[in-house]
Amino acid sequence: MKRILVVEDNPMIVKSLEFKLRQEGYEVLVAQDGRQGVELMENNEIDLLLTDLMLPFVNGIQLIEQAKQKDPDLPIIVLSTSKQENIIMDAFNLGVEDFITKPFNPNELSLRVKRSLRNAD
Amino acid sequence: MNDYIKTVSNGELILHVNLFFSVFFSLVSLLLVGTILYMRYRKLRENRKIQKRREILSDFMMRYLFENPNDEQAIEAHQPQNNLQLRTAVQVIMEFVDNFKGESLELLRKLFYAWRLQKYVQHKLQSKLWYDVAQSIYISSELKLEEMREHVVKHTNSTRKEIRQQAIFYLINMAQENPISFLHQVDKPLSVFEQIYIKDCMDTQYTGVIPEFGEYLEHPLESVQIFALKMIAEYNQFESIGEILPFLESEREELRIAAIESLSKLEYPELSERIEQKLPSEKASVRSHILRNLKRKYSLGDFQNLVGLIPETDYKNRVLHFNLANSLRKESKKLYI
Amino acid sequence: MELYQIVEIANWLFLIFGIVICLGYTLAAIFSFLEIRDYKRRIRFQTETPLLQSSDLPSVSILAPAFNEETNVTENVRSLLNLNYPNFEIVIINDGSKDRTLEKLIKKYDLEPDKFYYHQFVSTKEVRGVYRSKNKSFKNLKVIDKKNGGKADSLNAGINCADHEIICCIDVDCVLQQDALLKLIKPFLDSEEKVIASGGIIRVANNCIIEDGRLVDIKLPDTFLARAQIIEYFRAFLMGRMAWSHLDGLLLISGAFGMFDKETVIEAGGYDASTVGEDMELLVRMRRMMREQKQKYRVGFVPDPLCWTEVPQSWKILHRQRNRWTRGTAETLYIHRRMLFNPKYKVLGMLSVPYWLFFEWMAPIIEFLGIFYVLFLLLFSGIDPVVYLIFFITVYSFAVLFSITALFFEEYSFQQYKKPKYILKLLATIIVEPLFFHPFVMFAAVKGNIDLLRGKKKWGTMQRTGLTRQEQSS
Repeated sequence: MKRILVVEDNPMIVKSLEFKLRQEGYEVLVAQDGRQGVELMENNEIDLLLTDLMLPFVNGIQLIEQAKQKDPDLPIIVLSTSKQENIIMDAFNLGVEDFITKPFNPNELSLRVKRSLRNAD
Repeated sequence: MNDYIKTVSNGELILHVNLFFSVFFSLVSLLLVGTILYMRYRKLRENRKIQKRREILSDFMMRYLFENPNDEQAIEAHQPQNNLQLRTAVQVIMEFVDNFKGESLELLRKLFYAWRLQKYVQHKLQSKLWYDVAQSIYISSELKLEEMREHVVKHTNSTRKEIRQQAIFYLINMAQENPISFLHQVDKPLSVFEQIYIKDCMDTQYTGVIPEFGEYLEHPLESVQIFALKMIAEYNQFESIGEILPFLESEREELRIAAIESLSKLEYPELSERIEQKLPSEKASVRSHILRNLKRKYSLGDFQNLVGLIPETDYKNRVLHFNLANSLRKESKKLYI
Repeated sequence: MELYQIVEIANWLFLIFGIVICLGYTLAAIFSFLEIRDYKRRIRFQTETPLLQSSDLPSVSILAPAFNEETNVTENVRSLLNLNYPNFEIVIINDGSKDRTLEKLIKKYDLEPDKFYYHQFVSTKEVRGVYRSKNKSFKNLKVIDKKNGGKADSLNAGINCADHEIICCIDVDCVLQQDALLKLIKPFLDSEEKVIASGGIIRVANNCIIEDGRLVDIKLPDTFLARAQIIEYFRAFLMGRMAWSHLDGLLLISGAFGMFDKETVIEAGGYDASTVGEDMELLVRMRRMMREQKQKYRVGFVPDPLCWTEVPQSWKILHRQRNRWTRGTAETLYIHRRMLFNPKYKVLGMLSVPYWLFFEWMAPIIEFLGIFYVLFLLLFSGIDPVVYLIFFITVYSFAVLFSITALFFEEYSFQQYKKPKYILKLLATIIVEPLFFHPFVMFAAVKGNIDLLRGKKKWGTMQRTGLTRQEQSS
């Protein structure tokens, strides 16, 4: 069973993602801020990282950098409110797989998660 | 004790006045303290009830959205029964709506109708209280409730700013084509916030054809004209350049500035000549825009010559001075502190 | 004239002063209530999210002077970097710190000197260098190193260096809400007239749990002094500033967190480094200039707690602070004395300036004289002490009522002190405050005036105890 780490500070989104991804058969770890996200990432082997950019304590970019350091092949999907091109570019330059803007389509996100995991194998 | 009472009752008016006020203040204080404690207590209780209700609803809604959208029984079971439940239901649905789009959004709308919440919103839309009206328009806008349109359109020119804004946002959110045609009916100034929102909507939600902004250059409201000038440049509507040119000579300096910025963004080739001519005679605020636009094109030397065209007295104009220095700063990296 | 006649007149004068204050405060309460109520209703449906995504939002330059802040400066900068806003820069001005403030910043943020033409538009003390980061993550950070010149001088240096059209002047150790910039820029966007400045509500951060520059838990301070200041801030912000904003007569935007239109600031001449009340003086000067130019404008006020700051917890430092505030107020009022009762300045001249003169500046002096007067009467007239007791009770009960009203507004609007026991503690503080805190502050104000007359010019230093940090796990 694949393990996904979801890092997002909006409680509604977090709960929904946890529910939906669990339902699709993934194991889901959840963090509501960047610091917790780093902690969970350090202590667990994860197969995919799904994170927001605007996070308390440790922001998304730093989290992504740390994730890439630990495992350069880890697929990462960013979920963010920003539509600014430079931010999207920055994220892709860091090696992020996919960038989804909020508000998002949960079904589409789920498809992209599946695709990213498949590509990683 | 009796002595004191005697002193007081035999005292002059001023003493009595003071005594009266002391008592009055003390009583009002106690009343307020009571109110504070009561408000706190009630808030706590209400919040606990609301929290519980929200948990139940959001748990149900996740199952509804992601597991089984056809569970009629469950939908019926969670039907809001009283005012508090109605309010909470609308709140929770709106939170989901804020975050999701696509099929989930459709399901949320179905649920909204299944619980007959549109009646609740319609009722609030006709309220006498401005915040109820504004909030209802907001909900209608987010949930794309077409049937509220006739009620919402009435408020496009409301004197209450919040209602007016939400009505405008509704109209642009709902538009399939001609997204800003409502501007023809608008007679109150368009604020920058509204302009940003409209543009953002057109970039993100709107899927139709981007309108020709040139037709709004003739609008009676200056703010709409400025908006049109900005948007023509944003969407590269070069065909409208001819209509922009007259604005360089407009009576209103804000329009002249907007025209200069717009033409600059559209990279109108003759812009530099035309505005350079105006440099000596223009007003200070317009001049800074002219200089800002010219410095991008000119070499440092040419630019400094240009500055020489400005009458002596204007150097006293601090803003201009600052912009000049700023321009020089960006050009010459060789100068140190 | 007989003694009793003098006493009679004096009594009535004090009473009139008192009644005017009462009426003023009642009006302030009503206006403030209306503003808070409207704001609460508005935020139910207004969202700032579209602003976040927009590149059309005006860019902001945050200016933060720093003097001897080596303990916390890098953390403060980190929290500023995490603010939610599409496009902004942070300008830290190292005002000739004697400690390692600059070194710590250079090390932590990978700074290198920037060869950059720096135009001394508003003249300041010598600038020794400007630093930018080699690291792309911190590309919006700028640090200015200059010779010591005080807060106003530093802010002017920041203005000279700022890239953007809106400047946000803050105290570097303030903790800002993540969406503070989004909320504070709103008045600039939402008004039909030009907005030259906007401010918000400042809260007391003492004893709150702050982690990585973020407010995690709001707790009531342990010391009476800090709690008394909380009540004071409630009064000042929830009743004072809101009422003035309603009347468009706001004269002061807190130096801890305020946003300004840079061009207007420059046109007005920047901060005045010769006064210790530079935040108030600038706003008054800007408003005066706009009025004299007959330009329509507005000053925005956002009734939302956006900024948390540390308040003095020792009597000595509190004295210095209030002393300085009084000198600042007096200096500002003197500089702009021409506005007093001048109909040309409308609300400012006819209401705001007179209010600040008589009820902010003069009130402590009158109170002080009042105490002497009462003592004098007690000793030399044959009037029964009970009479004084009654006067005292009237004044005391009014003071308590005013504070309780402010607490009520807080309860009605934000209820940021969640635990019920906090309310009880605050009530206890309210009862004691007029007896111990207020006389002290009044005395500091009187001393401030005396010092001003004697030519004192210094700011004095504030000892930072550092905001409470939770134990960091490894």
